[in-house]
Amino acid sequence: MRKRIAVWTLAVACLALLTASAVSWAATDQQSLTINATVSAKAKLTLGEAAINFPDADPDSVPSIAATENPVSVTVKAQTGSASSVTLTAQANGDLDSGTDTIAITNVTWTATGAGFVGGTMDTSAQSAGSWTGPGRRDGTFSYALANSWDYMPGSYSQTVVYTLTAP
Amino acid sequence: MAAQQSTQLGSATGRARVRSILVALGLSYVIAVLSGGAHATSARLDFSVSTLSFPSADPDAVSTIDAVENPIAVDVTISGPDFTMSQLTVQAAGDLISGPDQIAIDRVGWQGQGEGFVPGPATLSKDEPKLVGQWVGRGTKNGILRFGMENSWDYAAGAYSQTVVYTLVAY
Repeated sequence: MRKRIAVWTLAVACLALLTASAVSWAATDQQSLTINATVSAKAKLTLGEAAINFPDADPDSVPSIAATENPVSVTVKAQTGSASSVTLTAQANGDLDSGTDTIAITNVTWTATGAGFVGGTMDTSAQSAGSWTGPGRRDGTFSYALANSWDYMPGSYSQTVVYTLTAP
Repeated sequence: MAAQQSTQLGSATGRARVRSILVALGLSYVIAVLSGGAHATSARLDFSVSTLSFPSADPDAVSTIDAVENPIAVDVTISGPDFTMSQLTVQAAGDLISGPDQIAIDRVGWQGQGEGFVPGPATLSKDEPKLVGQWVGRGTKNGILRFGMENSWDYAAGAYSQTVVYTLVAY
Protein backbone atom coordinates (compact mmCIF):
# COMPACT_ATOMS: atom_id res chain seq x y z
CA MET A 1 0.00 0.00 0.00
CA ARG A 2 2.78 2.43 0.95
CA LYS A 3 4.48 1.71 -2.37
CA ARG A 4 1.31 2.50 -4.31
CA ILE A 5 0.84 5.75 -2.42
CA ALA A 6 4.46 6.71 -3.08
CA VAL A 7 4.06 6.06 -6.79
CA TRP A 8 0.82 8.02 -6.83
CA THR A 9 2.47 10.90 -4.99
CA LEU A 10 5.37 10.96 -7.44
CA ALA A 11 3.07 10.98 -10.46
CA VAL A 12 0.97 13.81 -9.12
CA ALA A 13 4.09 15.75 -8.19
CA CYS A 14 5.51 15.44 -11.69
CA LEU A 15 2.25 16.54 -13.24
CA ALA A 16 1.96 19.48 -10.91
CA LEU A 17 5.56 20.45 -11.52
CA LEU A 18 5.11 20.38 -15.27
CA THR A 19 1.96 22.43 -15.00
CA ALA A 20 3.54 24.94 -12.70
CA SER A 21 6.58 25.20 -14.96
CA ALA A 22 4.53 25.67 -18.10
CA VAL A 23 2.39 28.32 -16.50
CA SER A 24 5.32 30.22 -15.14
CA TRP A 25 7.57 30.00 -18.23
CA ALA A 26 5.26 30.79 -21.17
CA ALA A 27 4.11 34.33 -21.75
CA THR A 28 2.72 36.17 -24.74
CA ASP A 29 1.73 39.67 -25.73
CA GLN A 30 0.16 40.97 -28.89
CA GLN A 31 -0.13 44.34 -30.60
CA SER A 32 -2.14 45.18 -33.67
CA LEU A 33 -1.14 47.70 -36.30
CA THR A 34 -3.61 49.11 -38.77
CA ILE A 35 -2.14 49.78 -42.18
CA ASN A 36 -3.79 52.44 -44.30
CA ALA A 37 -2.80 53.17 -47.88
CA THR A 38 -4.22 55.84 -50.11
CA VAL A 39 -4.12 55.54 -53.87
CA SER A 40 -5.36 58.70 -55.54
CA ALA A 41 -6.55 58.74 -59.13
CA LYS A 42 -3.80 59.84 -61.44
CA ALA A 43 -2.91 59.53 -65.10
CA LYS A 44 0.26 59.99 -67.08
CA LEU A 45 0.76 60.12 -70.85
CA THR A 46 4.16 59.85 -72.43
CA LEU A 47 4.75 60.38 -76.14
CA GLY A 48 8.10 59.38 -77.56
CA GLU A 49 8.30 62.51 -79.70
CA ALA A 50 7.29 66.10 -79.12
CA ALA A 51 7.18 66.87 -82.86
CA ILE A 52 6.69 64.89 -86.04
CA ASN A 53 7.74 65.94 -89.53
CA PHE A 54 6.47 65.11 -93.00
CA PRO A 55 9.14 65.71 -95.65
CA ASP A 56 8.36 66.95 -99.14
CA ALA A 57 7.62 64.23 -101.68
CA ASP A 58 6.34 63.73 -105.24
CA PRO A 59 2.59 63.13 -104.94
CA ASP A 60 2.71 60.68 -107.85
CA SER A 61 5.36 58.48 -106.30
CA VAL A 62 4.51 59.05 -102.62
CA PRO A 63 0.78 59.47 -102.22
CA SER A 64 1.08 59.07 -98.48
CA ILE A 65 4.04 60.64 -96.69
CA ALA A 66 5.15 58.85 -93.54
CA ALA A 67 6.36 60.90 -90.64
CA THR A 68 10.11 60.80 -90.24
CA GLU A 69 9.75 59.82 -86.57
CA ASN A 70 7.53 56.78 -87.16
CA PRO A 71 6.77 54.78 -85.12
CA VAL A 72 6.21 57.08 -82.17
CA SER A 73 6.07 55.31 -78.83
CA VAL A 74 3.17 56.08 -76.52
CA THR A 75 2.71 55.01 -72.94
CA VAL A 76 -0.45 55.41 -70.94
CA LYS A 77 -0.40 54.97 -67.16
CA ALA A 78 -3.32 55.32 -64.83
CA GLN A 79 -4.30 54.67 -61.27
CA THR A 80 -8.05 54.71 -61.32
CA GLY A 81 -11.04 52.68 -60.21
CA SER A 82 -10.96 49.05 -61.23
CA ALA A 83 -14.08 49.55 -63.36
CA SER A 84 -13.29 53.08 -64.52
CA SER A 85 -12.76 54.00 -68.16
CA VAL A 86 -9.40 55.35 -69.25
CA THR A 87 -9.55 57.28 -72.52
CA LEU A 88 -7.01 58.88 -74.81
CA THR A 89 -8.04 61.45 -77.39
CA ALA A 90 -6.26 63.56 -80.01
CA GLN A 91 -7.48 66.98 -81.04
CA ALA A 92 -5.85 69.36 -83.51
CA ASN A 93 -5.86 73.05 -82.76
CA GLY A 94 -6.57 73.72 -86.44
CA ASP A 95 -5.43 72.90 -89.95
CA LEU A 96 -1.79 72.81 -90.98
CA ASP A 97 -0.82 76.45 -91.54
CA SER A 98 1.85 78.12 -93.58
CA GLY A 99 1.17 81.81 -93.55
CA THR A 100 -2.11 82.21 -95.39
CA ASP A 101 -1.99 78.70 -96.84
CA THR A 102 -3.54 75.71 -95.18
CA ILE A 103 -3.70 71.95 -95.55
CA ALA A 104 -6.76 70.38 -93.95
CA ILE A 105 -5.71 68.55 -90.80
CA THR A 106 -7.94 65.65 -91.83
CA ASN A 107 -5.21 64.75 -94.34
CA VAL A 108 -3.17 63.53 -91.39
CA THR A 109 -3.98 60.01 -90.25
CA TRP A 110 -2.38 57.54 -87.89
CA THR A 111 -2.29 53.84 -87.25
CA ALA A 112 -1.73 52.26 -83.87
CA THR A 113 -0.20 49.20 -82.27
CA GLY A 114 -0.74 48.01 -78.74
CA ALA A 115 -3.78 46.75 -76.89
CA GLY A 116 -6.45 49.42 -76.60
CA PHE A 117 -4.77 51.93 -78.92
CA VAL A 118 -6.70 52.84 -82.06
CA GLY A 119 -5.83 54.59 -85.30
CA GLY A 120 -7.81 57.46 -86.78
CA THR A 121 -7.93 60.71 -88.65
CA MET A 122 -6.88 64.03 -87.17
CA ASP A 123 -9.58 66.59 -86.67
CA THR A 124 -10.30 69.76 -84.83
CA SER A 125 -12.72 67.77 -82.70
CA ALA A 126 -11.43 65.19 -80.24
CA GLN A 127 -10.76 61.81 -81.83
CA SER A 128 -10.35 58.59 -79.87
CA ALA A 129 -6.80 57.26 -79.82
CA GLY A 130 -7.35 54.57 -77.20
CA SER A 131 -9.51 53.29 -74.40
CA TRP A 132 -9.08 50.88 -71.48
CA THR A 133 -10.74 49.82 -68.26
CA GLY A 134 -9.10 50.05 -64.88
CA PRO A 135 -5.62 50.91 -63.68
CA GLY A 136 -2.34 49.91 -65.25
CA ARG A 137 0.34 50.73 -67.77
CA ARG A 138 -0.25 50.37 -71.50
CA ASP A 139 2.40 50.69 -74.22
CA GLY A 140 1.83 51.22 -77.91
CA THR A 141 2.96 53.11 -80.99
CA PHE A 142 1.45 55.61 -83.38
CA SER A 143 2.56 55.92 -87.00
CA TYR A 144 1.50 59.09 -88.81
CA ALA A 145 0.90 59.76 -92.48
CA LEU A 146 0.02 62.84 -94.54
CA ALA A 147 -2.04 62.36 -97.68
CA ASN A 148 0.04 63.96 -100.46
CA SER A 149 -1.50 66.15 -103.14
CA TRP A 150 -0.54 68.39 -106.07
CA ASP A 151 -2.99 70.87 -104.60
CA TYR A 152 -0.71 71.80 -101.70
CA MET A 153 0.94 75.21 -101.88
CA PRO A 154 4.71 75.16 -101.27
CA GLY A 155 5.53 76.18 -97.73
CA SER A 156 6.41 75.05 -94.22
CA TYR A 157 3.25 74.01 -92.50
CA SER A 158 2.75 73.50 -88.81
CA GLN A 159 0.05 72.74 -86.30
CA THR A 160 -0.30 71.47 -82.77
CA VAL A 161 -2.24 68.38 -81.77
CA VAL A 162 -3.25 67.89 -78.15
CA TYR A 163 -3.47 64.40 -76.67
CA THR A 164 -5.62 64.09 -73.60
CA LEU A 165 -5.59 61.13 -71.24
CA THR A 166 -8.53 60.89 -68.89
CA ALA A 167 -8.84 58.55 -65.91
CA PRO A 168 -11.57 59.43 -63.44
CA MET B 1 -19.80 -7.59 6.89
CA ALA B 2 -17.39 -8.11 4.12
CA ALA B 3 -18.85 -5.16 2.35
CA GLN B 4 -18.42 -2.98 5.46
CA GLN B 5 -14.77 -3.94 5.83
CA SER B 6 -14.17 -3.11 2.25
CA THR B 7 -15.71 0.34 2.72
CA GLN B 8 -13.50 1.09 5.68
CA LEU B 9 -10.42 0.05 3.77
CA GLY B 10 -11.50 2.26 0.83
CA SER B 11 -11.87 5.29 3.09
CA ALA B 12 -8.43 4.81 4.49
CA THR B 13 -6.95 4.57 1.03
CA GLY B 14 -8.83 7.68 -0.10
CA ARG B 15 -7.54 9.73 2.82
CA ALA B 16 -4.05 8.54 2.06
CA ARG B 17 -4.42 9.60 -1.55
CA VAL B 18 -5.70 13.01 -0.56
CA ARG B 19 -2.74 13.45 1.74
CA SER B 20 -0.39 12.38 -1.00
CA ILE B 21 -1.91 14.87 -3.44
CA LEU B 22 -1.60 17.70 -0.94
CA VAL B 23 1.98 16.74 -0.20
CA ALA B 24 2.70 16.53 -3.94
CA LEU B 25 1.18 19.92 -4.67
CA GLY B 26 3.12 21.51 -1.86
CA LEU B 27 6.30 19.84 -2.99
CA SER B 28 5.77 20.83 -6.62
CA TYR B 29 5.12 24.40 -5.61
CA VAL B 30 8.36 24.54 -3.68
CA ILE B 31 10.25 22.95 -6.54
CA ALA B 32 8.64 25.23 -9.10
CA VAL B 33 9.55 28.29 -7.09
CA LEU B 34 13.11 27.11 -6.59
CA SER B 35 13.57 26.15 -10.23
CA GLY B 36 12.14 29.20 -11.92
CA GLY B 37 8.81 30.09 -10.52
CA ALA B 38 10.57 32.81 -8.58
CA HIS B 39 11.25 34.37 -12.00
CA ALA B 40 7.75 34.22 -13.44
CA THR B 41 8.04 34.80 -17.18
CA SER B 42 6.26 37.76 -18.65
CA ALA B 43 6.37 39.47 -22.04
CA ARG B 44 5.36 42.95 -23.02
CA LEU B 45 5.30 44.47 -26.47
CA ASP B 46 5.01 48.19 -27.13
CA PHE B 47 4.82 50.09 -30.40
CA SER B 48 5.16 53.85 -30.75
CA VAL B 49 2.16 53.91 -33.09
CA SER B 50 -0.93 51.86 -33.74
CA THR B 51 -1.45 52.95 -37.35
CA LEU B 52 0.73 53.05 -40.44
CA SER B 53 -0.13 55.32 -43.34
CA PHE B 54 1.10 55.16 -46.90
CA PRO B 55 0.22 58.26 -48.93
CA SER B 56 -0.46 58.27 -52.64
CA ALA B 57 2.55 58.87 -54.87
CA ASP B 58 3.52 58.85 -58.52
CA PRO B 59 4.90 55.35 -59.20
CA ASP B 60 7.38 56.78 -61.70
CA ALA B 61 8.83 59.12 -59.11
CA VAL B 62 8.43 57.00 -55.96
CA SER B 63 8.94 53.28 -56.46
CA THR B 64 8.63 52.54 -52.74
CA ILE B 65 6.39 54.63 -50.52
CA ASP B 66 7.66 55.17 -46.99
CA ALA B 67 5.18 55.04 -44.14
CA VAL B 68 4.47 58.50 -42.80
CA GLU B 69 5.16 57.29 -39.25
CA ASN B 70 8.66 55.89 -39.95
CA PRO B 71 10.64 54.98 -37.94
CA ILE B 72 8.43 52.93 -35.62
CA ALA B 73 9.86 52.30 -32.18
CA VAL B 74 9.37 48.80 -30.78
CA ASP B 75 10.07 47.85 -27.20
CA VAL B 76 10.19 44.22 -26.16
CA THR B 77 10.32 43.59 -22.43
CA ILE B 78 10.96 40.11 -21.12
CA SER B 79 11.17 39.02 -17.53
CA GLY B 80 11.97 35.52 -16.39
CA PRO B 81 14.94 33.19 -16.05
CA ASP B 82 18.24 34.03 -17.69
CA PHE B 83 17.67 31.44 -20.40
CA THR B 84 14.22 32.69 -21.40
CA MET B 85 13.82 32.64 -25.18
CA SER B 86 11.50 35.04 -26.91
CA GLN B 87 10.30 35.55 -30.45
CA LEU B 88 8.42 38.38 -32.12
CA THR B 89 6.45 37.53 -35.25
CA VAL B 90 3.98 39.34 -37.45
CA GLN B 91 1.13 38.12 -39.61
CA ALA B 92 -1.38 40.09 -41.64
CA ALA B 93 -5.08 39.36 -41.46
CA GLY B 94 -5.32 39.68 -45.24
CA ASP B 95 -4.45 41.82 -48.23
CA LEU B 96 -4.97 45.57 -48.24
CA ILE B 97 -8.64 46.06 -49.05
CA SER B 98 -10.59 48.91 -50.61
CA GLY B 99 -14.06 47.69 -51.47
CA PRO B 100 -13.63 45.15 -54.25
CA ASP B 101 -10.01 46.17 -54.87
CA GLN B 102 -6.96 44.66 -53.25
CA ILE B 103 -3.27 45.27 -52.96
CA ALA B 104 -1.30 42.16 -52.04
CA ILE B 105 -0.04 42.52 -48.48
CA ASP B 106 3.39 41.29 -49.54
CA ARG B 107 3.79 44.65 -51.29
CA VAL B 108 4.36 45.99 -47.78
CA GLY B 109 7.76 45.34 -46.31
CA TRP B 110 9.97 46.46 -43.46
CA GLN B 111 13.53 46.74 -42.31
CA GLY B 112 14.51 46.24 -38.70
CA GLN B 113 17.23 47.75 -36.59
CA GLY B 114 18.31 46.92 -33.07
CA GLU B 115 19.68 43.97 -31.13
CA GLY B 116 17.86 40.81 -32.08
CA PHE B 117 15.67 42.43 -34.69
CA VAL B 118 15.73 40.84 -38.14
CA PRO B 119 17.34 43.45 -40.40
CA GLY B 120 15.35 42.42 -43.45
CA PRO B 121 14.22 43.58 -45.85
CA ALA B 122 11.22 41.37 -45.28
CA THR B 123 7.66 41.43 -46.49
CA LEU B 124 4.37 40.92 -44.70
CA SER B 125 2.40 37.75 -45.24
CA LYS B 126 -1.19 36.76 -44.67
CA ASP B 127 -0.36 33.06 -44.90
CA GLU B 128 2.34 32.63 -42.28
CA PRO B 129 3.97 34.48 -39.40
CA LYS B 130 7.15 36.31 -40.32
CA LEU B 131 9.98 36.58 -37.82
CA VAL B 132 10.63 40.12 -36.63
CA GLY B 133 13.12 39.41 -33.87
CA GLN B 134 14.31 36.88 -31.35
CA TRP B 135 16.22 37.06 -28.12
CA VAL B 136 17.62 35.03 -25.23
CA GLY B 137 17.40 36.28 -21.69
CA ARG B 138 15.40 38.91 -19.90
CA GLY B 139 15.41 42.63 -20.21
CA THR B 140 14.15 45.29 -22.58
CA LYS B 141 15.12 45.23 -26.24
CA ASN B 142 14.63 48.43 -28.19
CA GLY B 143 14.42 48.47 -31.94
CA ILE B 144 12.97 50.37 -34.83
CA LEU B 145 11.06 49.24 -37.87
CA ARG B 146 10.81 51.12 -41.15
CA PHE B 147 7.93 50.23 -43.41
CA GLY B 148 7.62 50.69 -47.15
CA MET B 149 5.02 49.83 -49.76
CA GLU B 150 5.96 48.97 -53.30
CA ASN B 151 4.25 51.41 -55.64
CA SER B 152 2.61 50.46 -58.91
CA TRP B 153 0.43 51.82 -61.68
CA ASP B 154 -1.57 48.62 -61.33
CA TYR B 155 -3.16 49.79 -58.07
CA ALA B 156 -6.78 50.85 -58.34
CA ALA B 157 -7.54 54.19 -56.78
CA GLY B 158 -9.01 53.87 -53.31
CA ALA B 159 -8.48 53.95 -49.56
CA TYR B 160 -7.00 50.63 -48.49
CA SER B 161 -6.74 49.17 -45.02
CA GLN B 162 -5.69 46.02 -43.21
CA THR B 163 -4.64 44.87 -39.75
CA VAL B 164 -1.42 43.10 -38.89
CA VAL B 165 -0.84 41.38 -35.58
CA TYR B 166 2.49 41.26 -33.80
CA THR B 167 2.88 38.40 -31.36
CA LEU B 168 5.59 38.21 -28.74
CA VAL B 169 6.14 34.82 -27.14
CA ALA B 170 8.56 34.15 -24.28
CA TYR B 171 9.22 30.67 -22.94
